Amino acid sequence: MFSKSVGSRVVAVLMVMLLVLSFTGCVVQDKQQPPTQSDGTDTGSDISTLISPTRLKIRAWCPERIDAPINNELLVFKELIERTNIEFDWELAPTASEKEKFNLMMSTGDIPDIVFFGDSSIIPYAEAGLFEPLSGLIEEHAPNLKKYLIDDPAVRRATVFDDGEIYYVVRTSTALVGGGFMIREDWLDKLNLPLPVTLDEWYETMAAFKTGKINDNEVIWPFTGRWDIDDIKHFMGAWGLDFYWFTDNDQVKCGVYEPAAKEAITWIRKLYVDKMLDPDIFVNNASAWEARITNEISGWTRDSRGRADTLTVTLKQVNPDAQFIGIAPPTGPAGSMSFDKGEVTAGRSAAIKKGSKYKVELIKFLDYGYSEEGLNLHNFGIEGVTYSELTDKKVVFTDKIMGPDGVIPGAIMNFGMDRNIPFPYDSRLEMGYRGKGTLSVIEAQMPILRDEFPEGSIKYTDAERDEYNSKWLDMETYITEEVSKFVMGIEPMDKWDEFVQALNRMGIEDVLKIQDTAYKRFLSR
Amino acid sequence: MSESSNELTVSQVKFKKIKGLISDVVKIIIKYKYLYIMLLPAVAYYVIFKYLPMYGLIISFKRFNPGLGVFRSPWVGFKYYEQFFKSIYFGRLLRNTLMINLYNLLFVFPAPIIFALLLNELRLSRYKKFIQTVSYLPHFISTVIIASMVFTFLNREYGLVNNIIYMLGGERIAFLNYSKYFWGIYTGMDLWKSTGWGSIIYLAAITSINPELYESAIVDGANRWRQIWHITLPGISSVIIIMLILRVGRLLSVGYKSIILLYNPLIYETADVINTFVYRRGLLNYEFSFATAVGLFQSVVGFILVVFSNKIARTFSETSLW
Amino acid sequence: MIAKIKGTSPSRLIFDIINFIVLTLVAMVTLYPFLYVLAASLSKDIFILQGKIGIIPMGFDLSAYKLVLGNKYIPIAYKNTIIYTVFGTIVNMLFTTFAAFALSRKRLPGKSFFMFLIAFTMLFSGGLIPEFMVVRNLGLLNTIWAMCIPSAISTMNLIILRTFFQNIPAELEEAALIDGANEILILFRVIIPVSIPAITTISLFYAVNHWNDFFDAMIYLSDKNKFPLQLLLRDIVIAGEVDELAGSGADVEIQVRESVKYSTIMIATIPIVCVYPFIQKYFVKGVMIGSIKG
Repeated sequence: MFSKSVGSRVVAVLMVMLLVLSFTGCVVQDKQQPPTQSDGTDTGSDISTLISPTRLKIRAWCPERIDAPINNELLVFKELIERTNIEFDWELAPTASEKEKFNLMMSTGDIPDIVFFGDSSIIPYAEAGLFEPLSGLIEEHAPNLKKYLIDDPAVRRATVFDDGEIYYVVRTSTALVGGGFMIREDWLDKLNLPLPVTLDEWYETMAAFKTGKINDNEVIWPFTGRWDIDDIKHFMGAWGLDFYWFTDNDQVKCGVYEPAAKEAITWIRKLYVDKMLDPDIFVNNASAWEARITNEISGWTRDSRGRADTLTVTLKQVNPDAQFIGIAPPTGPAGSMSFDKGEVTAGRSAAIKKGSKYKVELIKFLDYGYSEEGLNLHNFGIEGVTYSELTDKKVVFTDKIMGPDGVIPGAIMNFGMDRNIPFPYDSRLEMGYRGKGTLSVIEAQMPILRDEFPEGSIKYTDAERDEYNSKWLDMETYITEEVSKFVMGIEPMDKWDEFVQALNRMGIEDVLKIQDTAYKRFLSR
Repeated sequence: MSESSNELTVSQVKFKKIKGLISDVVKIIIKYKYLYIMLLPAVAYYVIFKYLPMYGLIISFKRFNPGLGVFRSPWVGFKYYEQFFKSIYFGRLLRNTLMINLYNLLFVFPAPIIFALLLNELRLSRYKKFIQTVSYLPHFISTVIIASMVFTFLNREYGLVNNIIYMLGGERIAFLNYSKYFWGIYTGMDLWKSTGWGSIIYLAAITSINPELYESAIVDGANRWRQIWHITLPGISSVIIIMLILRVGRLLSVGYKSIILLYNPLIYETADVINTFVYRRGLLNYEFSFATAVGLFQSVVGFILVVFSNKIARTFSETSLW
Repeated sequence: MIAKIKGTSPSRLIFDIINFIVLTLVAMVTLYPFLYVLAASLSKDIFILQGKIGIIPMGFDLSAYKLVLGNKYIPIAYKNTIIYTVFGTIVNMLFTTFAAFALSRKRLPGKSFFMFLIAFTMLFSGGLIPEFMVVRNLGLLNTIWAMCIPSAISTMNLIILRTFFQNIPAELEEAALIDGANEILILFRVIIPVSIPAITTISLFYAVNHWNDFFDAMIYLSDKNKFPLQLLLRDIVIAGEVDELAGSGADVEIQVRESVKYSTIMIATIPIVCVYPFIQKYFVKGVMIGSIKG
């Protein structure tokens, strides 16, 4: 039945071939095309914004949303190519995996000439010298960038590294509010109440929401959230404190370690214990939190600014009167303070590869985005196509952008406006399409914005970072757990002093010193 | 010169031994050539895709800067290991991780086996297929959604679990606020998601048992329990032992994804495991090194446990990993 | 069925009833999440947010499906997933079956050594970037090979298959050896026919793994036309979540954000669920054992 047939020899050969075949997959695949150099076509050279006499094709890396593709056919991008003669050869990564793709790309060493990126992942690579230092280039070729990035001390401090160099061009913004408190305007109207201002008024309004028979729900938890414990900083502002690090007269302090924190925590605890706050406020995930709001169990929360409108629109399906509006944080002994000032960070920025042969052209291209003409293009598009009117105060978009229900989803991005190329973000853009809710949130926070501790921009020395890490990681967990217990009424407030002493024992003074030194360095940039 | 001639003889002897060894090896390779050829693709695969990348482990001994790459980042020795061991939470993290895995060994490991045995006893074959297929479904639903559902079920106000308790006359409980419930909750979730899919392997093992063994047992008058005890279980024992050894190797690991979705600071006491602690370390630069160091620690301990259990398996049974 | 009941003893009957109840409960409990996801995928977002969905859709709405299936890459992604799954599983089974067989032969010198080295890799891994670099340096990036070769063997599956092979009665192999067969013939004529349940099981594991994979695709592929289904769906879901953070007019239709999460699961899972009943028959008892004798 069995014989040493030719068959088994064939199988043996096949097995070896399989092995070889699997590794010749590498031979079969296409060789990567090298980036094309300028193709020598001469475009009309009477446009003064042209950066290069011939059309240049330059490799660029950029994250891309699945629902908002990036290509050179987008209106604004096409226009940019016409005006500057710079065309990008896009290497795109889905935003869903942006961070991983970025790190992988950098680790291969095959870096495109310009990289558009979304977060601080760039920093270790810039520190390691993989990106071109830009201050010299800006001085020589980019007067607009100079105005926005170097001459503005706040922006400069936030982006400059300790060696005094700038390694990336950030997007600047005139509307720096990230989020804020928002409250159901219709609930206030129903109960005939004004917007509360002081701490006491906040408490009373919450109590009114709770007992005022606003709707049919059995229980009302007036204020809800999906908070980490350090989000109570939004209340703590009334005592002039952030939860963790903040600066007071250029001195670095830690909120929960300050004497005033005891009073602040006591007030917040009262809110919680008296059931003004959702008992799950520190436990809620996004779904639970949305359930509270859409079931109208809660009518007051704090979130990113766009939510005021998205929640309102969703709620209108169950209650046509619903409207969220913004409200400033409560005013306490230290006034009213909002910690929602967006930091000038590395989001939506661009960096140029070290030694790129196009570095001059690229810096000029980025500079164009900061010129009056350029920033109008990035923010508003093209007159007659995307907008019909542009004044100092506002922009009126055409019906290509604005539909009957407000902004057409995706319209702005799909015309190529407000994409990853950095430019000065103009508040008129947002005002042009945002709804009442968002605008009121921004308005409520603007006057009382406080500079946050520049966590993302501070640089530490290696020794500092080591000590910080070794002490802080444990302390952070300890603070999180202990303060949660205090706020939720599990631990009595008279144990607070012991808590502070424990922090002292764990070395918080040393960490404060490190923060202070690094901060002073930051200030002196 | 007696000494030098002694040396010559010694090296001559060594040479002969090596020659003998090489020819022995060659003989073996030729004798089992087909088997070694079959093994070749796998060996090549492991060398290239598993062993070659292992150099990455050294970043746990370096302050890894992704810009400098693995080889140019500076050495720091055991610094990150020290940081981890010296943490005041080290004991707690270790305990939580081990306890969750112990619960897992106690409940989640046997469940697919029992489920497979029960399913095997069902004689309505259409219904059996239906139950089988349905039991696999949670495997296809991402952990995120399952954890989300668990979260909702346990909600004090409108969660299913609390609704049932309330109907039975009890007090509503906010389960996720209390440390003591967490290990049970996590185990329950794990059972829910993995029992069905986990039983596939045991069902396949059961079907591989020679039916003649059952026939002769019935002839001998064995009832069903004896059949299970004397035929089925021994028949799948090798699969059980192997799965157990492999499971033991993961005793120090609990994935962070599902816990992150369920826990909060109030229950860190029991819910904070090694991987969630490392995850919270988050966006500080150089966390690659710390995470790798902790991971290597978990691997080393897991490895020791596997070696140990493999030895036990060798001693007491015919089945072992190697 | 009546006949079966009539012919059984009371204690067996009681056991059967209890078994039936227990298994039915298990089926209900495991069916529930799937029904919930199905219902949610067909419901209006507001009801999902309010937590009112049980297993019945509320506010019946197909928008989530329209949104996802309307994405122009969906047909390509489906095609890619099928290709990666079929091709990948074939590669998997070739590598794994040969190796598992070789390692299952008691007489193979050095098998413990190899097993040790292989099991070692289950516990120790070099990390994402070194593994990526190996794949890149082999020139496999952005090719179908990247979806099959780096994941050619799952050590767990290899070990399980080897265990199954080890359990095959030695007499079968001995009979073949007496007839003068070499190992290759033994593998194909004796072992494989007897191991259909095991081989089907392991193939199923590999196939499902490929079907569900997004991670390998995420790191090794850059051409959108090569993306498999799960990667595309994941991107769609995440884009919806990022809407208000991006703060610009690219919001995925907010009315479908939640139901999209669930419709993507259904779109990815229903094909598999439909295929499975057809291959169940291969898990039938080892009928083959009796037939190959002598």
